[in-house]
Amino acid sequence: MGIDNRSFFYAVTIAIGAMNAVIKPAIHSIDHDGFWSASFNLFNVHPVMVGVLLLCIALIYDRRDVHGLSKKDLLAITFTLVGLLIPSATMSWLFIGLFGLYLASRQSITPVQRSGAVILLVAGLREPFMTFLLQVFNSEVLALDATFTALLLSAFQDSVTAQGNMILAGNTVRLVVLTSCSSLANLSFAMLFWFAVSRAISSSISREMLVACGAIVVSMVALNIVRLTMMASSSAQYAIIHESIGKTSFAIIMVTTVSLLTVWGLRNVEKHTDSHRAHIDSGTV
Amino acid sequence: MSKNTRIVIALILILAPFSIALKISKPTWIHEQHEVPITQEFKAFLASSGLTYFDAYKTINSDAYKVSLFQTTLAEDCFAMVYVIPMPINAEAEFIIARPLAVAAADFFFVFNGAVSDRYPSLKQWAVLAANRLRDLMNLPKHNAIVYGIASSAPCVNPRGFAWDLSAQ
Repeated sequence: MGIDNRSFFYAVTIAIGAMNAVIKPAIHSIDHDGFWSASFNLFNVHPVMVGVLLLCIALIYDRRDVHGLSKKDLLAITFTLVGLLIPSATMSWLFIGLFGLYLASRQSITPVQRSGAVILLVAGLREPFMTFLLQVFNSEVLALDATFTALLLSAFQDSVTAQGNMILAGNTVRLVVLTSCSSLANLSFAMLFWFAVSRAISSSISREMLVACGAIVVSMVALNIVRLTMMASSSAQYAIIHESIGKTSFAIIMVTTVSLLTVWGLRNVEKHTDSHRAHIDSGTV
Repeated sequence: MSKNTRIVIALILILAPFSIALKISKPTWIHEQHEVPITQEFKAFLASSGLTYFDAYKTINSDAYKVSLFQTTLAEDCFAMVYVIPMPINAEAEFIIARPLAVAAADFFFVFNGAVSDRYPSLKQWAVLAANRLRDLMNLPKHNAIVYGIASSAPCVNPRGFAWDLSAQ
């Protein structure tokens, strides 16, 4: 590792940004739940975020990079480090995203590094964007989940309706969908995972990967609606699904589904590329 | 080692530990603000309008969005309750106030910094919350970001007509 390798300092800046972004929720989780319980919940840090940030560092750090730090690099790193002084996790994510934007705009970086920079930009902006969306359009987002849940539940139970984010059976409130239970919150992580894998493998997103993206959106919403329906169906089921075992099981199902669908999309891309090559070899294209 | 590299190493060594220390030392957690009790000033304001604080009840499984009950005391021919839920984060309790204690309210509305509205003022609250974060960084006093969901159990009590400028109380 040459100390004058600029990509090393890019990677270090991202790592510092990531630590700043996750330390506050992690400490809060330990403070609130105790160390062991917090560790079981991965310290309130979504595994997709950890994976994506590590991927960004791996893509951006290039030991063969011969460039040293330019004045622009110096300014961008200073701007990011000063921005990270703001004691807010959301602001840390924003500055990580802005650093990604700076890196993506650099002409002299390799295509692999550019992929890492674009993923960093999307990962960094996800948090502030979702915070804004779930604050300003909270009613609409939660009402959508409640409507789908009521529709599914009405197939099994009589007189089930949705009123805003509440699911009612007659005059009885069966479930109130809160922000942490919304499909959108899970969907944003799923989409980030899909985007990171797609962009890490190819600089353009193929039709096959877009199909996989559609499948991820449908399956994430469907899985969440099934979970909410089970929670609304009885208090016993609510207790099982809402507590940590049910919560962890659901997270595993979500991650497995997204991973499988992303792999399925990648296989389709490979198949498409192979058949295209075969056509070229046989002279039919 | 170039000059730029030396400057960046110095910046990292100084600013990185400092930024993490600032995150750890700042004790305000937005999550904890879900549970906001009704203040004495708020109770006094409703008391001056003929409503006496009765009790507070859970509306969901957690302690967030507890509904406070206020009973009419002035009009003898009107036995009614006024329900109040403080909503400090977002609109997720917007419809809970429509059915406080699982019974549909006769009327419900929202009060935010003196203004009464039928729909939850999400954008206005977001703007105040964002401004408060900046004010917090500069150690300036924060503005009120709590939206109060208000409902009444019977038409004989009309909390909409109250002068809801709580800052003036």
